[in-house]
Amino acid sequence: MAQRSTEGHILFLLIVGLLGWLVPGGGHLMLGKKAHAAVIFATIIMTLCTGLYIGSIGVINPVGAKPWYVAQVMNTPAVAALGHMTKQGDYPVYGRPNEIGQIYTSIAGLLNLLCIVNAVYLAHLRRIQNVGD
Amino acid sequence: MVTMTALLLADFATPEKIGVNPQSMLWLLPLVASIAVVYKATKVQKITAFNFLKETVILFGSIVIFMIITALVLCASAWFITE
Repeated sequence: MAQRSTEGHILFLLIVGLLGWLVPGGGHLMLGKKAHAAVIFATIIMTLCTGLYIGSIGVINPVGAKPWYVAQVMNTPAVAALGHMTKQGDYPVYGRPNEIGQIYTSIAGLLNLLCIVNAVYLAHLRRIQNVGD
Repeated sequence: MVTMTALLLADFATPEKIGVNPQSMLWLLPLVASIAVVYKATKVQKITAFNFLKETVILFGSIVIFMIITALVLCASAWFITE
């Protein structure tokens, strides 16, 4: 019984993490933290869109800027779809717009990673408190 | 509606014109605001408008002040080395 419960807990943590990646703030929403989820969703999506607006979708470059791409894809899987569109090099972008766009989109991704880790940690903490009670 | 959507999408397909000048550094401010908001959202137990805003503004100010101090130190170091 305890073994099944542990497996269920790990599955729950995975679902929380996956939901947080699919939609920014989704992990917190699953934990019932609606205000946190709304703030996280609005801020991360706005930061990502600002980066894409400044540098165009060309800043998502899975071929020429792989390390940035890894951070960008932490935003949501939709970024990977954009990367698939731009990998042929049809959206060239250079200079300061490229730098600022990459920084914005990558920081948005890393912030979402922080939120995913936070949501998983909160879910784990909740379980520990429940077992303690 | 279709035209509006096409125009909106076109904005995301062409980069903005941003020059390499000191003013372009101001683009860091919205990013710092985003970092402050998301970081505080992961830290506070309960979000209430006033407290959350206060905490976020304090963090935003701290980051900006620290960056200004770092920039001044780097500027002074560069000046001492090159003069």
